[in-house]
Amino acid sequence: MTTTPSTTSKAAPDEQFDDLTQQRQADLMGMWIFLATELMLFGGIFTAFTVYRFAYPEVFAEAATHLDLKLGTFNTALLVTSSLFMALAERAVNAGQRRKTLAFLFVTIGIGVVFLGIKGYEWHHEYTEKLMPILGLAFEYPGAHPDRAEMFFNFYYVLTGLHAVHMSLGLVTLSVMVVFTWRWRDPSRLGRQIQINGLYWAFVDVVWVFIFTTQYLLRA
Amino acid sequence: MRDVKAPVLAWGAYLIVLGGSVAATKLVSGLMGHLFSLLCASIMASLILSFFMGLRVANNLLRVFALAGVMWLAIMLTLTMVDYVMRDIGECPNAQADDVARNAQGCPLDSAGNVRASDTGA
Amino acid sequence: MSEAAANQASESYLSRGWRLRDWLFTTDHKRVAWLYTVSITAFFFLGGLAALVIRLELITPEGDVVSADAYNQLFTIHGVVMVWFFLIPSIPNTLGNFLLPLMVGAKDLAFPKLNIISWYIYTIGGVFTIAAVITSGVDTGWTFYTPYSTQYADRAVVAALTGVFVVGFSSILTGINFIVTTHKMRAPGLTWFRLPLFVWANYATSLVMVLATPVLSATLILLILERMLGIGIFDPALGGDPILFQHLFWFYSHPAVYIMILPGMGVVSELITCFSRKTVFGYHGMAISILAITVFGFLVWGHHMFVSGQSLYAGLMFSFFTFLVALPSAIKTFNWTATLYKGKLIFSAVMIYALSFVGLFTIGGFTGIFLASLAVDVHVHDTYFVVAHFHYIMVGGMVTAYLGGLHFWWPKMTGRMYPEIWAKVAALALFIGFNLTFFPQYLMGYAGMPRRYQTYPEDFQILHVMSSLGAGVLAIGYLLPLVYLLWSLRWGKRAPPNPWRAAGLEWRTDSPPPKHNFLEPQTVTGPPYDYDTIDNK
Repeated sequence: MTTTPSTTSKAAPDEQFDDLTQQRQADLMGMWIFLATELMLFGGIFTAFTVYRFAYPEVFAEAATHLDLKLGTFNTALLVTSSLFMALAERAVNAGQRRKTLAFLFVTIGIGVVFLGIKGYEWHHEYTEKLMPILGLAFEYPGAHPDRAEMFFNFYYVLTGLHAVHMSLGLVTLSVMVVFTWRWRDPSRLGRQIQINGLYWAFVDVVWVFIFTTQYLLRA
Repeated sequence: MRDVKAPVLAWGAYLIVLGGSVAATKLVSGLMGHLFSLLCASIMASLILSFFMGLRVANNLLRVFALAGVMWLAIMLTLTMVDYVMRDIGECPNAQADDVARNAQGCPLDSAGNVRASDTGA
Repeated sequence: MSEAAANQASESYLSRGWRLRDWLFTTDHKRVAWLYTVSITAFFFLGGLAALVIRLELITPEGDVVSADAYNQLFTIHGVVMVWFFLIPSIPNTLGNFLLPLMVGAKDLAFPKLNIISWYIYTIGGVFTIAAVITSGVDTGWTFYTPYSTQYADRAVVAALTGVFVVGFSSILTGINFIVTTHKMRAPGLTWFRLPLFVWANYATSLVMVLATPVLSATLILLILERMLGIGIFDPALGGDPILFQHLFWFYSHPAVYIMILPGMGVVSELITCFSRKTVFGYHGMAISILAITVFGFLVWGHHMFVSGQSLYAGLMFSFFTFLVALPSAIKTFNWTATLYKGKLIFSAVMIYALSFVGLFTIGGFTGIFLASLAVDVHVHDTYFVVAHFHYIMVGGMVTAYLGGLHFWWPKMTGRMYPEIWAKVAALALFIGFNLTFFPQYLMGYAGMPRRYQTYPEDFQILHVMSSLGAGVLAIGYLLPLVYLLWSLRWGKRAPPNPWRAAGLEWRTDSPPPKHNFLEPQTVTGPPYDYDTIDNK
């Protein structure tokens, strides 16, 4: 770290804080509370899913077999790899390694984009199979109880769609982090920002674990 | 760079558990397989929380907040399910757990022997 | 520090910066509090206007002032505006925003930018919702119950839902801000059990905002998707259960009742102890009761659904938990009265508000016990008994506390005193008008008058007329403060730093406070509400 003796020291906390430690702890705590709200957001939808999964166990288990397990598993592995690179980027920025940070961020973003691409391909595939009961599209389900199966697919699209929205937001903020890393103006501030972004990105991964398990794996 | 080993190991462990979970779905059908998959999901989530999100080294207050989120989700899920385990929404929306008699469609009858009005349309 | 800089630091937060952008782009929590105050006051009078038309319509048994359809829209406007845009943000975002950093001895909230952003989200979302509700005539009530809201209502329901969804984010941001500020920004020596009860109450409120609001967001997303994309999560044709909507909705909306009342309890604790010149009786019990109400509040939502078709056993469980909430509430009520006991009571306008709160809250809480009983609820569900019950809590409790708190801290916020005589008149008008409006509603509700009806049998007319008369008196109780408080901004007497000789850090600084609240860092060495020491000085 370089020392900056000028009065506008870059290592100064924001005006409402006494010191940097306080600010750092406040930032982290704020982010964790925000993640708790995200948990409850997805939790509301998971609760609704649990209600119907419990009421119609056979139909839902049968409907789950119409999802692409291979692509889903591959996507799950991809997403955790991107989380790994995000964690590495965090460590790189704290070690003051600008180029490594940039590289890791790019890999993180790249994998995220591939994930969304595969997800889009899956959706398209389900669309061609006429398993997309959205906007009045035809829903031609080959198994028993097509009405209850439609409920399963409703949840599938709500959960994966909301997750994709969160991923996209994460990709936007990560791109901003790339710009900040490129400029490399205030490494200690950047370190805090990347840590906060890393928390969000990993949390989106946690949510995906449960979406993947409840939608793809609880099958007949 | 410090401490790269831990996240990489966590990543490896995650992939192994993921493989186990998917394999269980293929091999063990029914409830046991589903429960195993859910258990695997909790392990995978814990790995991310501890190693990628730093909960392993975070101060206790942050852990309390993380735990509170899970607790409140559990409250919502449990109390909501109390209603649904006692009530069959499938065939007869107004069924109650203590209904004794049932009609030809399997819908419960009230004490006077009538089908509840809202159940007849089902 | 140079002399000029010292002068600038000691300048009040109001003295400089009166261009529009000094207010619209401020991050000073005290100025954001004012922005919120202006917004919620506007929303409050809009919602109140709708209520007045409703009361006007109900003077006669026939529907003669407005059409039946317009009547449905009126109670929707009244409910949507009052619940979502007045009651929920009222105390936390005005008094809380202003006082929380002062009370913990901080320079500002932890995230000042989020604070101003939350105001923008709130105001824009609120105006958008109201525009949608009024122009298209949404008539779902404030609860948006399925299947009416998803399959039958033919108005701009999606727009209204989107607005409420957006406003939820302002709650979440405020909640995060308050929790982090309380944890991380307290002055040295200000331990948890030295915090003012107002801080405790706002902290607990923030927990509810953070844990419950996202579930509402999820529920509204599902409604919006069902209407817009046909993703029918609550659609019976797909095996969906419309009652599930009520579960998710009330998982937020019942704890939201505590978002509304807990800050009021915090305010009243401050007022009563100051004007009894005594420390709060059972401080620890008061603080723990606040937390207990917060937790129990999450376990009781099913009591809104006793007659919905919910399982009887779930009803039994929710009824039991509901009775449990009465315990901490009763502890608080008894402790307020015990604080008054042998105190040197000063019957100022502020104290009249505080005492009104205790009385009205007790009646409202007590009738809540009737409603928590399964069998009684079957009789009074969806009648004016319920309407009267929650207005005793929301208006008799929350609004009274808000007005009391506004008067109490008005000198701190503005640096001016308000005219005490007029304030007393207004406080009494509120108490009398309120009881005249809502007590008759208990009687007619118990006799079977259902809520949300435009016409009624002639037997109820005398009670309805009394109620409408009371609404007129109540309106005076609201309009008077608006007039004399605005008047005092210019002509009121200048306020000293501590006009009430009250305890608490906020009274140690100037009225109005300087931009960074305190000129020197504060430390706390003693317990809260140490009125014996203050009065013996």
